Amino acid sequence: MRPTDRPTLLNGCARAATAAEARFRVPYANSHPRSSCVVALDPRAEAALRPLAGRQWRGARFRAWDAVEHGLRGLEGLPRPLEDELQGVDLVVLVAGGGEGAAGAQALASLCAARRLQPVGIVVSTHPSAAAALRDCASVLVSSADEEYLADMLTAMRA
Amino acid sequence: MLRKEVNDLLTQTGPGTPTGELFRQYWIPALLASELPEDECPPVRVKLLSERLVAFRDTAGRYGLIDEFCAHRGVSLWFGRNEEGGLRCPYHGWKYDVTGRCLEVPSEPAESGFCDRIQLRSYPLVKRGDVLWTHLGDPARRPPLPEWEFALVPPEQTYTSKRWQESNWLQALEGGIDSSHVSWLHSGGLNADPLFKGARGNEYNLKDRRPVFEVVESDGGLFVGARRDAEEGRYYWRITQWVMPSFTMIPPRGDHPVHGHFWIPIDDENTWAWSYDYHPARPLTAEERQAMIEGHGIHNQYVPGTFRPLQNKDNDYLMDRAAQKRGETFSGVRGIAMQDASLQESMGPIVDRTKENLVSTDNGIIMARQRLRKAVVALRDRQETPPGVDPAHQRVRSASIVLLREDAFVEKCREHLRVRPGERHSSV
Repeated sequence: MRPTDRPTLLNGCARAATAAEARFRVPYANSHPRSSCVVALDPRAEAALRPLAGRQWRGARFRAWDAVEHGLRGLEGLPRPLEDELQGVDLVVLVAGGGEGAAGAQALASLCAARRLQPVGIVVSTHPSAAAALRDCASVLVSSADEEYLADMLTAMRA
Repeated sequence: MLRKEVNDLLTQTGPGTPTGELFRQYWIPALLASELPEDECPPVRVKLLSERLVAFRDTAGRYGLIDEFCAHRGVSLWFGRNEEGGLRCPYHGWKYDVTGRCLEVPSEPAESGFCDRIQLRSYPLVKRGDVLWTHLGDPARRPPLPEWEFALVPPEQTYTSKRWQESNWLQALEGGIDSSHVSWLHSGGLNADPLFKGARGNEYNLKDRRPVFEVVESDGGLFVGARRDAEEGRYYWRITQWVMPSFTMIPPRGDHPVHGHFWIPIDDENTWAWSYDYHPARPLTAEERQAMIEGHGIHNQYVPGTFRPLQNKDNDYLMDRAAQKRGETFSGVRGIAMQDASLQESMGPIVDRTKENLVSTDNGIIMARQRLRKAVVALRDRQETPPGVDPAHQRVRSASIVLLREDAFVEKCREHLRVRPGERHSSV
């Protein structure tokens, strides 16, 4: 019988899974800060985003889709180059409150696909076309009438 | 990631805790009916929500769930004699009925009325289906009896088991609503397990390993939809139900029975994982029932005479690295139930969620935590009845179905996600 056939100390699950051993989990930051881009696709979504943009985040940037210019702008209104905004991003969140942003969702989803990013879609209203605008663009689609869900999700994902 | 104070809020369920109070709003499974099989059978120790109790079935067939300890000097009534309408402490003969009322204190004259002053805490214990249910909350706020379909169909159509999981309830529940792990951890089971194999839907699962998830709030909790490519212009949807606080129903496969779980806190570091299987329209076959008894599907094998899984942390879950290398199992642990439990127990008794790095496919878990937190706070601060108490929230089903690509699953599946008594579940 080899020594490893009889687990000892932490090779045995019984001891390893105890609360006593859980205290010895190495205390360090096990991830680098992520780079997130949160995009409001329509006016309802932008209204939901504005209160969040003023809070302290770990680098999340908040943008809006400009349907006229077919590109991104900051919430203050200034245009933002699309290529630059997605540079180095590892989380893209598309937020829809209505169906007007479907074209923007498609455009951003294509760019994300080229960068092997999978956008998360968040529907912040019960407007039926909001989910439809995102359905084929997001790898995960979440519909929540709770106005706090977006903030809770960004916090949970360390945005 | 969850802040420590929110993690503590949701994982602590003892008396006086906010999430403990949440659980006390519901009827919860307490024992299998088979644990009290006959009148005057031996009493059974029960620990729920960090309360130590004892259950018994008296001479007239009435069920009782009372404080475990005799009011005299604290002896465990597990040693009690179940006789003549009550449970008698063997130390000095004090006797209690199923409501915890003291019937006799032999050393005191009956005329003294002393035993009228003695009352053990007691809770109702009601049989529905294979399960004895209890409500540990305020009797004045007792809800109607539970209406989960698996507990209401004829006995030949249903099977229920329970196992001891050595972890907090929440990390167990989160495994149940996290659809994204199935393609990894359980990848060996689909075509091998007698309770899953042969369904047309399995082919879609195996061909499309990158499902798209859709999470939508429901009246009682959440729908979690997983969408995979089907034939041209269509998607195969598998829709899981979560009803607060800890009920799930997994989407069915073919005409196999449909199944799901409850996770009920024993204390903050231990959980009862309840597993049910039922068919709404026909009896379980002898083969299906035998497969469940033998631990296939979501059930498991036991250390004889206990509810402890045969595969447990003391034997490293009977880890088989050779089977893992051969591709028979992904983690080296056999069986759906213990594949989940082994990993959830490895997180520690109460996982530290401040160290998490969640990704987009964790949105089901993120939303469930948010809904739980809000329900707990609303109950604590405004005495609001939480979702899932209303029996209408319990009359639900899961579904697997093929839809057109443009269809929104919640709208198209509303009728499929409700109980239709006697009718088959919607399944592919």
